[in-house]
Amino acid sequence: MSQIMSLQRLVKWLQVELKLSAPKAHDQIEELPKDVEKPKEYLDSFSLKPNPSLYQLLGRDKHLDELKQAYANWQKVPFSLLVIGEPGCGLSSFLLAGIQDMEHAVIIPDDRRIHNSQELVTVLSEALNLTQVVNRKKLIGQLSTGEKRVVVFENIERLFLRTLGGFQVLEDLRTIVNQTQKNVFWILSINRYPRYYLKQISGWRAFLGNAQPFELGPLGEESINETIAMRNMPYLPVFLKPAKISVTLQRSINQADKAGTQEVLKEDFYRQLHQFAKGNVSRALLFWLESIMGVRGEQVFLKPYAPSKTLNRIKTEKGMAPGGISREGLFVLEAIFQHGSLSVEDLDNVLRNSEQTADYLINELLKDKWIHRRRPRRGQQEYQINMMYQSELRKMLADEFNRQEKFD
Amino acid sequence: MSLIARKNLIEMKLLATLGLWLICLPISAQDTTDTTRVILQAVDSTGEQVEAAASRQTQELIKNVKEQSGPTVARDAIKTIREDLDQVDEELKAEEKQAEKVDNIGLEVVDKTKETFLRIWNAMKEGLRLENLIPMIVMLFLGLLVNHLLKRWIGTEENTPQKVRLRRLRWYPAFRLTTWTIVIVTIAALLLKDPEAFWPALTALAIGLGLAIKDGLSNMLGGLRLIFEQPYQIGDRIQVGEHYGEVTRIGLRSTQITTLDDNLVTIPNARILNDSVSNANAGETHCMAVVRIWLPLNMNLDLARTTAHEAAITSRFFNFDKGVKILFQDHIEEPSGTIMKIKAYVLDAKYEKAFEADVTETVKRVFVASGVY
Repeated sequence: MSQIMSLQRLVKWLQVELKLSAPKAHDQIEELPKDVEKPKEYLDSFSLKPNPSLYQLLGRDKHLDELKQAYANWQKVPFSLLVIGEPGCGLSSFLLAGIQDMEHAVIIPDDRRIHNSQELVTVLSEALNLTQVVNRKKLIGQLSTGEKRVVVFENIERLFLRTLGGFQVLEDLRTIVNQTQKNVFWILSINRYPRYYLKQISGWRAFLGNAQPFELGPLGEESINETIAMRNMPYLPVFLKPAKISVTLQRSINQADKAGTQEVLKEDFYRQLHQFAKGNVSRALLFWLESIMGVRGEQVFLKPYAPSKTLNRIKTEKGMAPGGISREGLFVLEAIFQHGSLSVEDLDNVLRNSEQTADYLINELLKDKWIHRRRPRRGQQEYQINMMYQSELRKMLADEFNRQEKFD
Repeated sequence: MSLIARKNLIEMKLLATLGLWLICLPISAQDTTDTTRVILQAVDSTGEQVEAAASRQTQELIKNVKEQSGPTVARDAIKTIREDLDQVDEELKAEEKQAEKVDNIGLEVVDKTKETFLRIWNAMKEGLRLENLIPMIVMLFLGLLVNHLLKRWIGTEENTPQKVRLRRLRWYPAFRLTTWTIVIVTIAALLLKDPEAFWPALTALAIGLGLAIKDGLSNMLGGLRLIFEQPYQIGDRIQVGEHYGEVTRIGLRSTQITTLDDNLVTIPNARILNDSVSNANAGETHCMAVVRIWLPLNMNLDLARTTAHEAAITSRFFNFDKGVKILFQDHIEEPSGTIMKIKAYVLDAKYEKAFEADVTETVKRVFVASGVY
């Protein structure tokens, strides 16, 4: 009897050693329960709205110190600042956090596209509570005297339209900034792509060269992980098997126990997240949101989001590839990307479409989720590039349109 | 003078001298001298061939015959002439031997050629068996398949950027040439398994084809040069003679370009190589476009420059990584005016004319609105 027991033990030992009796992958991986839901409160915690308090954790401490230093320097030698970042890099949050300790700091709300000089004067005088300002000259007069201020003008790409005479408002702002920078610390912000366009066009280099550039680069992986962890609290993430599993990942899962499997899946999930986000915190948050399969109790179930590869296609001479876009569509996307956001009417002007074809193209792009609607607080309905496909668009512009955008 | 003619002449001299000697034997010296003169005069009168007989040697002979005894002199002369004759005979023999040798070689070549063709014919008969035909057909299908896959790889593969597609297209003619060379050589090797039949057959085929399609061959050689020298590539905008357009295909025989009117023009490669070719973008996707606008001589040039500059930089076709240049030139002769040239790069050569039209239209709208036109 004892011999039989010993033999059984030996067989069991061999099975464990040779991993013959190891549980199969699907036994180890958590399955998505049926009673999950996506509560609004949880999804709201991953909102992309600017948040200065959350931002403190994003590893921008060094940049915040540099901003404070720039403010101190301006008090000695007047100059203006041009903060550059890509959409979703946390630029608004950074500026909100950055001006918290500055006296008389005002942010000009990004609530409309400014089409002419008078609109610019109105927007500035309203935001700065200036009365009896009827023109640029009066505005400059009032800003040049009185208390010293800090004015944050976000997204200056909304001041120009790529049309004949469409740079006038931007030129007005240049005049105002240059003539009042002794009394006003101007912090202008611009997205990378519009800045690239304006910089390349001769005549505008001087304007952008006057303002001291302040680059807000990609965030480190640790900072992004920390932000996500903080927003996810107190929920516990449970990682599910990805839709497409690589041989290496499957092998790692096979070799791990239940706790180890979660570690393997977590590692794979974050690898994919960072590959997608490329240091952009908003894209990382979007990846997380797209990966949520459901929430049960304090557990959130995540399956890595798989971006559709068919989107990165272009219409060839032989016909439209499924999910691809035409070259006309790419012209529309570039125009929107250059201006931050555009209405259909502005788009027709920018593209010089005499037959007003922008409406049709916009609908096509909306259907394929390349763009989404953005309704400013004032003004017309506008369209913006879907942040999920920002990198793909940049790559397509380089490949198809020879746009040689370079980081400074 | 040929050896035969020389021999004839010497033989004639010998006969003449021999006759002289025979005559000289029974007669006196005076008579001998007279007789010799008569004979030599007769020899002299035998025409052109005997003209040489009146050479220095014969003159000496006459002199000697006159001064000495005729028979002795004649005997010596005969001896010398015989020696000459022997020498000529030897040379003639050597020449005949050589001619015989050449004849033998010619016959040998003819025999060998016959043998080779027979060998090729037999090898072909052997090669055309069913068990060989199947791999040949498979090879042909493989060639077609590779060609088809190459086309697909170039044109319709997912996520293929324009630049990469063009780069692949540029190598396509070389790939196609290599594929078909491999297919033809393999089929020939299957058909002609005998190595002694294979290369002669291939050579004969090449010579035959060369003679049959002389013009086609020069075009093909031109095509090969174009593939490897690459004076232009697929996607380039070229001007050959009166034709201007985008290169859409580079074949072994001809090059096809699509003109701005969307006509497909096929130009033989030999003609392209002998003609001057102007290339607008030389392998790059972007190219320079030049817009010419006529202005009145009294035009406000600042307005013209600003308008033209903005029209160019706001065009969707503008490659803003490159600058814009605006030049003015007065044209005094009729029709007089100032020519404004707007030089800018477009993002893709295919938008060259679209850019020109876009800028011209925009500039003209402004000029009309401001009363310039």
